[in-house]
Amino acid sequence: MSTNSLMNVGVQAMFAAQTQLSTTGHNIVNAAVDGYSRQSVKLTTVAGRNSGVGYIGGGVAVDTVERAVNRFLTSQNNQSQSTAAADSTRVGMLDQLESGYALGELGLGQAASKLFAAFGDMAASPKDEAVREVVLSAVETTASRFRSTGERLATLQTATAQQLSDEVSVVNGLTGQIATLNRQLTGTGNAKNQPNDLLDQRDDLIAQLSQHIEVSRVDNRGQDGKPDGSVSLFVGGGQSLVLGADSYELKTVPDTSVPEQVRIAIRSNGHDRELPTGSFSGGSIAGLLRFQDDDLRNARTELGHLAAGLADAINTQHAKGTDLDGAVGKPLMRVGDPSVAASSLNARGSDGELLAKVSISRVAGQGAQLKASDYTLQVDPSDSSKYRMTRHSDGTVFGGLANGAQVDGFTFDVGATPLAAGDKFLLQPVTGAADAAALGVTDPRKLAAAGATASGSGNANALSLQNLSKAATIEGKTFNNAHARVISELGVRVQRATSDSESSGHVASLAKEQLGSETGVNLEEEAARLLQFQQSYQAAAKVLVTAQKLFDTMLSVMN
Amino acid sequence: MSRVASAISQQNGLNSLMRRQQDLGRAQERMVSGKRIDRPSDDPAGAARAERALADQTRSEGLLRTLAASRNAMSVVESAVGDAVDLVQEAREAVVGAGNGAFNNADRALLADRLKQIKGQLLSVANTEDGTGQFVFGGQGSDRLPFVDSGVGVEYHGASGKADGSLSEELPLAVDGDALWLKARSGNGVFETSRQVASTSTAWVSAGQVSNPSALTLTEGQRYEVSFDTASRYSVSLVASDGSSTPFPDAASNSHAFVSGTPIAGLPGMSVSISGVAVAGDKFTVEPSSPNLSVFDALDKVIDVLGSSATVAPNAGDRAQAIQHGLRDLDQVLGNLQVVRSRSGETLNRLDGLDQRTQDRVLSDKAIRSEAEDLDMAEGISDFSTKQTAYQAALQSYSMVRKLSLFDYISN
Repeated sequence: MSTNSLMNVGVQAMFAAQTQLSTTGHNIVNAAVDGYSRQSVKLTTVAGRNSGVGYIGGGVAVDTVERAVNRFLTSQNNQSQSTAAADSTRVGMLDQLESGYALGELGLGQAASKLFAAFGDMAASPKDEAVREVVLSAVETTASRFRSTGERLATLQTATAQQLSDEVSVVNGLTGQIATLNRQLTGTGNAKNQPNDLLDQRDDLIAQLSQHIEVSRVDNRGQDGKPDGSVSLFVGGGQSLVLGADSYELKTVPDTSVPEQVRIAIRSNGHDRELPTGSFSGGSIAGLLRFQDDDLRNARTELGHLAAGLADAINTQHAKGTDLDGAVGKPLMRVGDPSVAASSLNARGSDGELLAKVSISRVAGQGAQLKASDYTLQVDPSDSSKYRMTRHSDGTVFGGLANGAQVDGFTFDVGATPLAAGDKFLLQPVTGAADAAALGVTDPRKLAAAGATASGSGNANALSLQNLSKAATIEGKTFNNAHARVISELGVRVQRATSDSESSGHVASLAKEQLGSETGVNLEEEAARLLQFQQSYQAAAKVLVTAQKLFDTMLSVMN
Repeated sequence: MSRVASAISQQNGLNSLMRRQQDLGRAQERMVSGKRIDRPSDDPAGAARAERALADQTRSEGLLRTLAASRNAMSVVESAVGDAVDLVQEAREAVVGAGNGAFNNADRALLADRLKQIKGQLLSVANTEDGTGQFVFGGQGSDRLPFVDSGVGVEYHGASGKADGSLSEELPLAVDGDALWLKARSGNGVFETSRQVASTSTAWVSAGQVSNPSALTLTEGQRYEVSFDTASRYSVSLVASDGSSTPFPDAASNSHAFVSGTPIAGLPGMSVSISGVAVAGDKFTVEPSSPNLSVFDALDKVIDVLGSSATVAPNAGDRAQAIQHGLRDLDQVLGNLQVVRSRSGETLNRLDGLDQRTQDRVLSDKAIRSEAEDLDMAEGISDFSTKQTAYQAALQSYSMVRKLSLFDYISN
C-alpha cells in the first residue's frame, strides 16, 4: 500500500467529518424553523482493493445527505391539526356567541320578569301614569335586549362570512405555492440526492394548508410508475385542490336560499362548483361552516322563537283590554316579520324573474305553537296540487298541505303562480324576529290595563298580562323557563365544543410531538454529534499527519 | 429511546405555562366577581337554575309591591269605615233624640240639619281615595267620583265588585262600595215593614223581629198585607208574586181585633206590632227584605220627615214611623259597615301572613340563586392558592430545565 492512499483516506475522512459538522450546524441553526426535518449524512465505506495480501480498505465517502421523514406520522399530524383547527375555530366563534347572552340582572330573562312585574304594578295602580311609563320602559328594555342579542348574532354571521373569505384566500395562496414547488420538484422523485429543504418547505406548506382545510395527499407517479416528486391534494369528496403543477382556486359564494350565509365553491374548467358542506371534514373552514350552519343558525331561531312567542302572548292579551280612552289595546311589542327566501335555482320566467312567490305570516294568538326552526316548502311529490313542508329542527315532514294551511303557528300563501316541481322556499317564521324587536305603543294612556267590559281604570287586563309570566307562552313553557332552557342549551353546546377542542388539541399536540421525535432537531443530540464529528475530524487529521510523517521519513531515508 | 424535538418541547413548555397563567387569571377573576358562573358554559344547569330563581324572585318582589298597595288600600278602608261607623252612630243618636216628645218643630229642624251634615260627611267618606288616585270604595274601577249626590239620591258611578291586585292571591285594592253604601239589606235584614195610611192616622208599624226562624214562610215576591177594615179590626192577607191576594192563614181566621202596641196576629215566625190610633183603610205590609238599602236614602227619609216643610205637617204617627224605620235602617247599615270593617281587618292580617311568606320565598330564591352561581369564597381562595403554587412551580422548573444545555459544557 502507498502513503498516497493513506493520505487519500485521511482527506476523504476529513471531508466526511466536515460534511457531518456542517450538516449538524445546519440542524442546530434550523432547530426552531417550522417544518424543518433533521438531516443526517449517510456515509459509505469505500471498498478496498485486493493488494495480493488482502483487501485494504479505501476509507470513507459521503453517500448523500438525507432528511428524517415519516410519511405516516406526517399525515397523521396534518389530519389531527385539521381537526384541532376546526374545533378551536368553532370554540372561538362560540365564545363570541355566548358573550352575546348576558345572565342575571342584565339578561333577557330578568328584563321579561321585570316587565311582568311592571304589569302587576300597573294592576295595583291602573291610573297612575308614572307606573304606566315604567311599563313602557320595561317593554323597551325587553325589546332592546332582544335586539342587541339579535344584532350581535347578525354581526357574527357577517364576521363568519368575512372570515371564510379570508380563509379561502389563504388557502388559495398556499395551494398556489404548493403547485409552484411541485413544478420545481417534478423529476426529483428518483434522484439519489433529494432536495431536502425544498421538500421540507412543501411539507410545511401542506401542514399550514391543513390548518385551514383538511386535504388528503397523493404522491404522483411518472410514466415509469415511480414517484415523480410532485404531489396532488384533494378535499373530501375527491375534489382536487392541487394536481401536480396546477392548483384550483376556492371562492365563497352566497347560499342559494339564505344569501347572507356563505358556501365554498371551487373553480375548475371555468365553472364555479359549490362544494357540499360535508366535504369539509377539518380545518378552520370546516369549523366556521359548522358554526354558521349549526350553532349560529340554531341560536338565531331560538332567540327569534322567544321574541315571537313573547310578543304574540303580550300583544294578544293586550288586544283583549281597553286603554284609558276606552280603545282596544294595540300591539305593545313589535318584533321582526317572518321571512321567506326563494332558492336562486327556482324556475324563472323569460324576464329572469322568479315565477312563484310565497309569503308567510304568524297567526296572532298562536304564538305558543311556534317552533324554533326554519322550514322548507316544496311541491308535494305525491300530489302536485299540494305542498310539502319540512321542519329543519327535527326533520318532520308535513305533506298534503293546501295553500294557506297552518303549520306550527304560521300560515303560508303561494301567490298566483304555483310552485314548479323543483322549486324550494326557505320559510323563517321566527328567525330574525328578535333583530327588529321594538316598543309598539309610546303613549302611556294607550296601555290597555282595563278589561274588555270595564271602562277607564279597571285592572283586569293588567292582571292577565302579569299572569302571562306563569302561562305556557313558548311551546308549553313559561317564558322564563324557555329562556333558561335556551341559556343552558347554549352553555352545554359551548361546554361540549370546548371539551372537543381540548381533546382534539391534545391529540394534535401529541401527534406533533411524535412527528417531532422522528423528524425534529434535539439540540443536546446535535451538541453531542458536534463533539463526535469534531473528534472524527481531528482523528482524520491525525491520519493525514501520520501519512505526512511517513512521507517525510521516506524522504529522509532517500537523502 | 425517543427523541424530543427541542423546538416543540420549548413550545409545549411555554404553552403549559400560559395555560397555568390563564387558570390563575380565571381563579382570580372568579374571586373578584364573587361568581362561579360568568357565562352559561361555566355551568349550564347552574346558570338555568339561577335564571329561574331570579325570575321567581322578581315575581315575588312584584307581589310584595302589590301587597303593599293592597295593605295601604285596606288600611284606608278600615279607617274610613271606622269613621263611617262613628258617623252613623252619631246619626243614630240624633234620630233617637228626635223621638223626644218635648221637641218642637224647630228642635227637630236642628236635628235634621245635623243629619244632613252627617250625610255629607258620609258621602265624602264613601269617596275616599287611597293616595294614588284610586277610590277605595270604587269597586272595579272608576275614573271619577264613584258616589255622586244627584239631588234625588246618591248614585254610584263605577263597576260594582271589588278590585284585586293579583289573579293568584286575593289582594284587594278596593272594596265594593256599591254593596257597602247602597245595598245593605232593607228592613230588619229578614223582612221589611211599611205603611200606607190616611193623613189623620197616627198608626205606625215596628221594624219587627224574627221570633222563630224555622217558622218563617214568607218567600221572595210575596207579602203580607194588614188592612184595617175598621179602626179597631184588621184582617191579614197574603199577596202572591202575581198580585193575587188570599186571606191569611184562611178566610175564617184572618180578622183580628186591634190593640195598639201588640203584635199582629197570625204572622208565622215573626213579631210585628202596630201602635197608635188607626183609621179604617190604613194598610201595612210585611215583605222579605231586599239588598237595596242606601245609607243616604235612609238618612234622607228621616231628614224629610223631621225637617219637613210640607203643607200637611207630619203628625206624631208619621214621625214615630220615620224614627222607627230610621233607627232600623241605620242599624242595618251599621251591621253592614261592621262586617266590612272586620273583613278589612282580617284581610290586613292575612296580608301580613302573605307578606311574611313572600319575603321568605324571596330569601329562598336568593339562596338558590346564590348557591347556583356564587363562588364559595373559602373554596375560591383555596383554588386560587393551589393554582398560584402550581404556576410558581411551573415557572421555576421551566427556567431551571431550560438553563440546562450541553452547549454550556463544550469548551474549546
